[in-house]
Amino acid sequence: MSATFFYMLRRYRLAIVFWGLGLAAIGILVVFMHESIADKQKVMERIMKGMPLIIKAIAGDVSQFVTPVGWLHLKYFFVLPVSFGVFAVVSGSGLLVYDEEQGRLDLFMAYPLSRSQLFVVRCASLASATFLMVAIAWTGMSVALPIAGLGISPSGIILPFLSLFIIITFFQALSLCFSFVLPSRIIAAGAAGIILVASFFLEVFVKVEPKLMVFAKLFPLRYYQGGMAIHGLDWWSLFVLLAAMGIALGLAWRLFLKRQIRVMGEGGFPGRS
Amino acid sequence: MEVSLSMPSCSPAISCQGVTKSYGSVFALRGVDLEVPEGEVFGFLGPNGAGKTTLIRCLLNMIRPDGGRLRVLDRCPEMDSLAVKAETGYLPGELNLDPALTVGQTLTLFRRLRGKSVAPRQVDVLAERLQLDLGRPIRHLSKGNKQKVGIIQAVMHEPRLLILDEPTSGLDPLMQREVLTLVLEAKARGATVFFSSHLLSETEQVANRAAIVRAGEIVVSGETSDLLKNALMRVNVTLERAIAMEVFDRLPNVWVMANRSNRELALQVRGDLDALLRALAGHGVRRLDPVPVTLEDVFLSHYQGVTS
Repeated sequence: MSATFFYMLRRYRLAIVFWGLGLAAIGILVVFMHESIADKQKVMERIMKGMPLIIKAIAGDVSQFVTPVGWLHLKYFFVLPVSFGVFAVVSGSGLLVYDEEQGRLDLFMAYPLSRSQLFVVRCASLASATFLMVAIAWTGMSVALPIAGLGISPSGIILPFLSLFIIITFFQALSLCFSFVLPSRIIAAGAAGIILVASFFLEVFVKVEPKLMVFAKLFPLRYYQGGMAIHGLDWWSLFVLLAAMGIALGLAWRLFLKRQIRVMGEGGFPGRS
Repeated sequence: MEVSLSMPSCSPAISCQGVTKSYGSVFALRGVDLEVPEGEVFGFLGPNGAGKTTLIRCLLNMIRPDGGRLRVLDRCPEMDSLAVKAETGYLPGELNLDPALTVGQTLTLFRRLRGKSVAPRQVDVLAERLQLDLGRPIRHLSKGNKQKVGIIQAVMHEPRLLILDEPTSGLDPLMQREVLTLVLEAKARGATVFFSSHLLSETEQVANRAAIVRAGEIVVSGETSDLLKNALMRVNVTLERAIAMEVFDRLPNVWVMANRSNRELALQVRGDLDALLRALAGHGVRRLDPVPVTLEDVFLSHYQGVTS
């Protein structure tokens, strides 16, 4: 199993470096940008007053984003699931189905590794790669925070990054599950991506239209705390996300156990044989 | 992971009883009955789309048959897949390798996936024998060289059962011979080799037994020598005087394949030539050339609508 784990981790090595450094760079930038608006609450409020509701919703509450915690939440942690979510849905949907579509899974499955072991070890390798990316991002922000003097310690942002890690792994699990139900990896990634984007916009619009809350509660980002986790984790939200992830993973595992591994030319890819 | 290896038994290495498999409305296997005794080289013949790969993938639990019973090394491939896979080497028909790795990295990965059963030296020896450069990236390899990587990973742990789907595909004649030698070596150490092919000459060279599959059904199966013996024979005949074609209608085991002015004929004959010689006797036989039967003829006879 270790051979498969390290092989998969090797496959993610570029993603780990580029996503990790990218997230870290954005984090550092956001931390240092706070200084430019920190003492301009009145100016910002005046500017935002004339803006349409939708712009206000997207920009966030001025009184919130002038505070260090509010700033990090609105400008970094709140938007990150959408950009980092691209990696989540692509990597999740491709965890096993990518190799299947490439015609490589046959060979891996001919080795003495059960389907459950293959599933678990690949999930573990993806979770480890995601963890390393988040860790690099945390390290970057941890270096910047004391220099920028935001009054937040590196240990203070562990929980927001943990919250980020969990929402990303949730979307990986969801797109993995979709990849076994939908006809192709691309469609699975697209479906999970639509849920991600819909969830994000619901979270934006719910600020201007509270009636949307009933729908927002059905979507995963409602249970993502982001930067607000600096004040402590909301255990209920965490439980909902972990439970949903568990269900998605459990379903994906069952589907993989039952799956007829497709190969081109054998009728598995309709219209392409 | 440790998987206990069982001792060879008297039961067949592969046993299929009434195996069916369909993809939607397309029937890939229609009740395949097959038995491959241990220690034999078994050729599984058929053109593309006949169901060869489908049966192989059922044997390795990549897909599940809709019906019938499968046993591999006296085990159920679905319930006991780890033990089956531990003792099996597999070469897929469509070999796709990770293009980001080198040959050496690929084979090291496969060796590690096998556990402790393969010594690194074993891989080096096979690579040298097949003239494979371990340092080359997979993405720079020709189809034939990729096929060599596939063959090495299939045989490196000296499995009890080798399942090879079109093993010589893409290889030059010299390498084809080398691969067939590997197959014979596997047989010599007691392994069973089940290989699919549409190249009949190679099957004839190495297989003790063969089966021909057509549209998901085994149309003929048996010892290679028996298949050849019972096959249709081609006979080219040149006559001095024209012969009426109705003569051949009265010969149940003779078919006219080609006819030039009722004097130069290409015939297919099953069994002995007695009846044919009697029929030709009054027409001045100038030449009569029986063409040696190859497995190709056996194969084609089942694909040209000539009933057996």
